[in-house]
Amino acid sequence: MTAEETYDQLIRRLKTLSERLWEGRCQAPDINAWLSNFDGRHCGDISSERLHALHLLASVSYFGLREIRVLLKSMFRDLYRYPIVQQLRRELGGTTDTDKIASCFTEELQATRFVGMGNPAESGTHLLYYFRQENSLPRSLFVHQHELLTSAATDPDADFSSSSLKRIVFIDDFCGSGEQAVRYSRTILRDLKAVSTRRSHPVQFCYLVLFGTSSGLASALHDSAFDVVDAVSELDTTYQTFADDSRVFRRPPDGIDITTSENLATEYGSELWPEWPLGYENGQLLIAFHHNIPDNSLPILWFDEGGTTWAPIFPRHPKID
Amino acid sequence: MDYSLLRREEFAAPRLGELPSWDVFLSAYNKSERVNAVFEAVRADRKEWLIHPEYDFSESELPETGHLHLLNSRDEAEFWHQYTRDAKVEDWPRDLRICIDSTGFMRPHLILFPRMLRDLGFSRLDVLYADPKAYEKGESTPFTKGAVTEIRQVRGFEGAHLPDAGEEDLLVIGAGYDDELIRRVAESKRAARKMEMFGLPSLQPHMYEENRLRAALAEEALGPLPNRSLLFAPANDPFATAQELHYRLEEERVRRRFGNLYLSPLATKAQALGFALYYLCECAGEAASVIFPYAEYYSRETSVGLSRVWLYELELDWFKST
Amino acid sequence: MSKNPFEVTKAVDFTDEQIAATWVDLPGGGFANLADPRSPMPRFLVGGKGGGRTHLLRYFSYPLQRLRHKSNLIEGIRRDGYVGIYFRCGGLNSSRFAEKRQDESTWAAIFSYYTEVWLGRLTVDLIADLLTVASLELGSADISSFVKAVVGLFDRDMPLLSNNGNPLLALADTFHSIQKQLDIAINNVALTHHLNVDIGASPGRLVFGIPAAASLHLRELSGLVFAYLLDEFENLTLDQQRYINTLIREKQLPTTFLVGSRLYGLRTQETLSAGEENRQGSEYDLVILEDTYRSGAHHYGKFCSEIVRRRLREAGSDGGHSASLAEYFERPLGSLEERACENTRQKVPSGVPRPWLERLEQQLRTSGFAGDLPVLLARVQFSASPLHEKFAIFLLYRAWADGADLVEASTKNRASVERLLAGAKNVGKLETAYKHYRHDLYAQLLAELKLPQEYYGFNEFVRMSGYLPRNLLVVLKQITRWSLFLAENPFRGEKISLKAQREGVREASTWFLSDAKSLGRVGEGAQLAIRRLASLFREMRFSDKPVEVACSAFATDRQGLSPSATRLLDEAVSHSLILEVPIGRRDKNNRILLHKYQLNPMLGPLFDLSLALRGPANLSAADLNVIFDPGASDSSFSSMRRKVLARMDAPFRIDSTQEGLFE
Repeated sequence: MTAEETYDQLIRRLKTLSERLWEGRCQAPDINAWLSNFDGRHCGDISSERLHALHLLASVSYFGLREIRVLLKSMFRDLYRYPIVQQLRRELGGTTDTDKIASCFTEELQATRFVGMGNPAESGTHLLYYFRQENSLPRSLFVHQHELLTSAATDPDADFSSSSLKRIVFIDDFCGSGEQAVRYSRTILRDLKAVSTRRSHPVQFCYLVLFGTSSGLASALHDSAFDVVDAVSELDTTYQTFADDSRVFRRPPDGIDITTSENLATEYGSELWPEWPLGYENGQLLIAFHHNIPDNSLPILWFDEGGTTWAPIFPRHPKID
Repeated sequence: MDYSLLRREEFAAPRLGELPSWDVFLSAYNKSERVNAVFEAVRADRKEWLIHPEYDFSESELPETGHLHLLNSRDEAEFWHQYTRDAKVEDWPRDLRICIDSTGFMRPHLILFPRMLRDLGFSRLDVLYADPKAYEKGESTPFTKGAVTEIRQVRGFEGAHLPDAGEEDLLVIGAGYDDELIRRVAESKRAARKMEMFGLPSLQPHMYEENRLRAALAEEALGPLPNRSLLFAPANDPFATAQELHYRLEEERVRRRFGNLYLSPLATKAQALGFALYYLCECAGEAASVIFPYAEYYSRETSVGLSRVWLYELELDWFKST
Repeated sequence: MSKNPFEVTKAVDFTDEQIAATWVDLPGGGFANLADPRSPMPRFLVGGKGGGRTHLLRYFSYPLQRLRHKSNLIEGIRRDGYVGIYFRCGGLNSSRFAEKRQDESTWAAIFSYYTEVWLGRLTVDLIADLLTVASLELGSADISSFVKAVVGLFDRDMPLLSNNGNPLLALADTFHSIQKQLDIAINNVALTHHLNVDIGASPGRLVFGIPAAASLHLRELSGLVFAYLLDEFENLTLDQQRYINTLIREKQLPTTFLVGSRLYGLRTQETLSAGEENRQGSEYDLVILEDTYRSGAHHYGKFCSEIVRRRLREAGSDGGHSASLAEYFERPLGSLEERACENTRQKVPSGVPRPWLERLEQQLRTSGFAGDLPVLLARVQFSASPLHEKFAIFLLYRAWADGADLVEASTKNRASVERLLAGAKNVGKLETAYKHYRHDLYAQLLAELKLPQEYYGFNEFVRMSGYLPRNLLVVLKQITRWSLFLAENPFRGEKISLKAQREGVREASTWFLSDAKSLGRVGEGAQLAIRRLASLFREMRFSDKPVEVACSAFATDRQGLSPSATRLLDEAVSHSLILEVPIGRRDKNNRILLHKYQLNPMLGPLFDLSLALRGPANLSAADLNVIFDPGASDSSFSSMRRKVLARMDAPFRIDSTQEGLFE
């Protein structure tokens, strides 16, 4: 296959993706605008640079709103509800009495609070709305972090706002390095756990995400104080774009090679985010969501800061820190 | 119906040794790593390889461990008749602990087995399904080899249908990677309104996209599908699959009447099992059938690696008797 | 509303209302000439996928009649003179009437009884609906006698189920119950191997008896024809078709049949009565829709335009600003000669030899013409007009193949081509040759410059559809999608770009090849044969000295074709991969009928072929056997291909030793 044919194939693939899955986010003019970032200054040849860039773009896994909603449903059904129902069934002697189980489950649900990870403006919190809607959950189960306790954690009289509370579920869209979970353990989680001990009120702390890298999830499990860490979909090392066993280069199209691709992403990435040219904590991911794109994905996809002329294809809404 | 009461358990590849043990273990031999690794790891008094003619193995290619059953019928009912006769299944104690690894079986054969065991009076069947790491050639992995020869109802999953013009028919396709199969099934019920179910969450995160790209090739046979014609269920969870079919088809019944229902599971074996479960629990005796495009041969090796194994416990007395 | 007016390409995806809204009659006599549901002569309507059969049969069906005669149903139907009982053979799930350890004759008997009950149930339901919708105040005595007559059609006692004293609904329920019992028996046999079925009526009893009873007892229905509209006949097995053929043979008034089928779907004309075969003209008529379209090609074009206009209007796109549909599509600028010039200028940097000259030079050098090289190359070069240059080279190749003196020939030809280029009249034979070949030479030029072939413009898409309107809709759907992807504004004032047309056409062409694949090994074989044939045509078209213009067809008297090649050829024809062109000509010498076959133009773009139909390529029976016999190996195909092309590619040696006899 000639380079032009590979190029055409990739464009056709992107057309189908854009039509079917990417919510029309990659129409031809968008693609062209993004490709025009690559002017041959790093790999010596404009058309080769653009071809390699196109392959990276065509390898992105994008999850649109519909898919995110489905995954949030799965999060509730498979990661939250399922283990509780099985536990109940065991406790009730293996019963298949659906009514009995349903009523016990409702009790468990009432004793749960769902909290968005991070600041209210961040994805975790943002997703709670859909999470609640998709799973038809009552509003009362959703609280802000500061509403979990009756008063500030430093107050020796502080208690859980709900006396029947059994578990708190922190929800987020993405766990890249696990750093946030670890940070939480040192702050909010530490305070909540202290109250739990002080009040002899056992509470289970869960951290559920839509996507998590294997290493991030492992770190969250081992280095944080969460009792349960789980992801709807786990991204193993094959999702690291330039790793040896990368799925992106398992069978690359003709004319595409991993070295050129990595150089391209690194060189342009360095101009955009010198500290992490291939994404936060060297994430190297090609993953994007309807509502945002994780900073662990390649910056050439999303970098959208003022002061540069870079035209991102999935502009990232920056975190409010 | 609440299918989520049924038990499933996940065993990551390094934990295969923790699988329970069984009296009899059945698996359909092929060349993929995931089928052989599971066969190797499972502890059972009797481990049996069933050899499908669709894989076209010569004698010298057959495995050397385990009991071999060379079955020669492509008709799923005859396949199991032959096996039950050879293995004297009728004489087995009805509380025997039986496990079948669904991974290598042809889908029609797989879904008929629980029904046959139920009819024979067994009350429990454990089913395994092994997730691969990736498919051999991504979205262009060929699963069927050779031509689709016939599209027909699966034995034991044939309903009593209504004679209408077909416009009221509803066809739910569990869309896998094989666009040819999707196309064949859709063409065989040209007039039916179509719904497509996709595995989401998929076995591996990127597989959903691969799956959709492949299925897009069959879109002309499907006709335009409005958004609500799409269904989603985890690719490795038969119970959630059955549950989703239950919800969505109840919804359809309320929203817009449909006459005949056709179900065609063309994706993972776990999905096929979910379709079967739904059919056996809710469709037996109705104007509903499972249909399948039968191909002459299947690829012996389509996947790379083994990422985890699922164990599903089928409590057969849940199924409605016909 | 969808931005793409062509998203729906199949009649089955339309509601009854949409069928009524998108109905376009065939110009010049209309569809009524093709199929008349009142005609007592049963008729088969056959054709490729997407020819409009289903659209037509559904148009005649009762639900559409109901829509058309909303205000006064019974009067409208009486005016129509018929009721259309539409059904799809696919609904029978016919493959369950086989195997399961039962013999064929058992299944044949059960199938025919089951179908009697099925059609009976449809007819009874239809009558019940008609009487309800028309709120006919029929005397209950009439209904009772009708019901009684129908019950009497069974060979055994058939107790009516009760339904609140409504005998018609009770009759419908009874049919339902009989059918359900049959279903259970038929379905369970795979697992139990016991088949217990009581055949309650012999073939024809219910199918003819119910309309007759309605005619006799229900006044408003007397004199109406009951037309069974059987669609998807191809879904029935040979044995099952025998039963339908028997009904057709023994047809009784007031019943008639219109049967829709794919070309390949007619498996037999035999009936259940041994030795009796239905004959065209006496027991049935046969209409092939594509032949009808083709015989009035002008009408077909108009028909297509009308379908497209209707779609655009429905989608609110056609503001009437385009007098001709062609206006919606961008056309390449300039004449072929100008485009050849422009493309060459863009792709070949100055100072670099043009690829066709390079190739010629190489060939001449290796074939012993090194000495004449400078002269010959100078004679054929026309740097101002690459297309004329291609033509001069073509003439040189022709002379070479004829064994002529190349220097002399090229000198003579140069003079003529110069005159041609200067626009002189009366250049004679060469002028005609140029006219014939310029499109192919331009196609070669594009290929040599690694540019895509050009399939642009509405008329080209109509031609591409191969007389199947659905194909046109698929082409337009894909083009529109590309146009939207490119952020154009198709059919709303902005022309659809060449790129969108090119990509859409390519996608439609790819779709067609996979869609036309038939079941089983024979389907695989036909795909292989088509790929072989098409790639051969491509190489012939792009050869140094193409013989046929717009090579995409071949002719054969079918003598000498092996049985398996014949079977595969017919398979390809019946699945519309190949079109049989009806105007076969007789061989001049022995008056044997020649058949002319054209590769379906839908496949043209996939293989860089012309969509035009011109003279057939000269392929011997032996060549065709290699192409169409699934047993022929790839290497025998390669050596056959080399042999055929040796006549067309320099150095034009047709010497058998180079054929690789031992491959």
